[in-house]
Amino acid sequence: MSPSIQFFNRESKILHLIRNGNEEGLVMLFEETRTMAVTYIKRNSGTETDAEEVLQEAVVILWEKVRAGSFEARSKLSTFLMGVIKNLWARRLARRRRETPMADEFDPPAGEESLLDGLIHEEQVDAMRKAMSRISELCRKVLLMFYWEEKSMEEIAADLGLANAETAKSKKYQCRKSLETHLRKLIDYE
Amino acid sequence: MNNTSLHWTEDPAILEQFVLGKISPDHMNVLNEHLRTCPQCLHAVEAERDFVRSVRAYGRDQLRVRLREKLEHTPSRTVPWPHVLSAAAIVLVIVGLGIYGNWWREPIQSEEQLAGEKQVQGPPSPAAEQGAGIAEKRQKPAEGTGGETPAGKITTEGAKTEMRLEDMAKEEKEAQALPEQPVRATDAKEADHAGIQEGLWVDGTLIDVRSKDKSDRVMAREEAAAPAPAKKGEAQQSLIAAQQGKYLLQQLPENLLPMQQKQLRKGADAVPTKVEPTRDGAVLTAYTDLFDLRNKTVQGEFSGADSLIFIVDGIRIAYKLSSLPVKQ
Repeated sequence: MSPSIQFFNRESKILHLIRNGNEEGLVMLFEETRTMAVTYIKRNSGTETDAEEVLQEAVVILWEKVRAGSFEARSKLSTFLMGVIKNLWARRLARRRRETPMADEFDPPAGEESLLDGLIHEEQVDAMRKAMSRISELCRKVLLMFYWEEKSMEEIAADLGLANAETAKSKKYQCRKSLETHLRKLIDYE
Repeated sequence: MNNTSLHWTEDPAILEQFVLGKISPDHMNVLNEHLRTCPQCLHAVEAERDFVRSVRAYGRDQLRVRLREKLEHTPSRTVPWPHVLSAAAIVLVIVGLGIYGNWWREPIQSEEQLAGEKQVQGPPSPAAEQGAGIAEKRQKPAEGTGGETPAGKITTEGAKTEMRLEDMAKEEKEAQALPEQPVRATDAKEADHAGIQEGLWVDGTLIDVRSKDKSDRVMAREEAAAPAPAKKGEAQQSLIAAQQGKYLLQQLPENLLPMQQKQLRKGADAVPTKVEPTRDGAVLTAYTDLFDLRNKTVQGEFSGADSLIFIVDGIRIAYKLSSLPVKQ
């Protein structure tokens, strides 16, 4: 029987859920921030759909930060999310302006992905999606935990029930080779 | 590993750690130094970065997909605006109809209902009359806000009507709370003399007995003027019933005869008489100056099949028994 945990507030509970990889925490966070996000995006030339997309992106960023242990709870979660939303929306608006014919002649601001880079990246992501669908569930988890969540081999072994870090390291090597094989096949085919 | 002149990117572990930023800053500087002079290694680093970036993008995509699915299956705590507006519109329509139709008012009594209540309760008191007047006033504004009112003014007109109705209902309650005022005795007397007072009135027929030398023709005329006999069976019943009772006559001066009765007087020989039923029979008050009983009473005598006769100072006054109340 798992011990019950009492939380001082809803925010603590959300953070606890995210740290433990429970995606219900994201749902709670999304619902709580939704009204604020929609209001802000609508006031800044956006739509409700834009707001939902940007909020999803912001929630995922928070997930990554919390899961990677790089999130410092200096402010409320909603305040952090609104900050991310404002930045993401500003980028989207800038990209939209660049996509208009008049703006083509301008170079993208420093540090921002060019339109061509974006297209190349989209192709790579698409190929990755296909290749990932062809490997095992365990391999997907190992690779995502290592490259996306940047978990250590010890953590991966513990989370996935592998014998030890060496086993996890070996598993990761096999999975990567398998994924690269599929990627190569996809690229050659295309 | 310390020899960076070799292509360090050929070691997948170092390449991976470099891209993931898991190398110490000092070591990182050495590796970066090599990259400036090795396009092949730079290309390998870029390829590794693309790979990691793609895996991360895939992870985010999958998380978004799962999040979207969870949100679709989670009942939203926020109610969509169209739903809120629809609900508000329905409430407004119901409230509007309520105001328009006075749904939450007590039903306004019709004049017929009010008249019916008056009959049951007897003569209205001033307070009740005030209430009835208010009830009449209540109906007027309600009629005024009928279908002629433009739709755009329904709310304001309806609100005004509501205020008026509330005021009137308040006045009505106050009026009903007032104690009933007793009718003054002087008022009753004045009303009686003005001919307002109701009652049973009959005409007595004078038969002057003092003129014994009157001709047969005159006597025949007087007999003809006497109360017409009732039908045989009816008269018999009246007599039997009347004989069991007691009938007294009293007199008042003719000038005290109510105006209404003066107008109804049939002739000089008719003595207007007010009949007040008693437990045994009746007291008859004759308004005449032909005799003066001075607060005395005379008992009547039964005569013939259907007559009651009073004899005062040689004057006979006859009454038809069937017109008088009898002891039950």
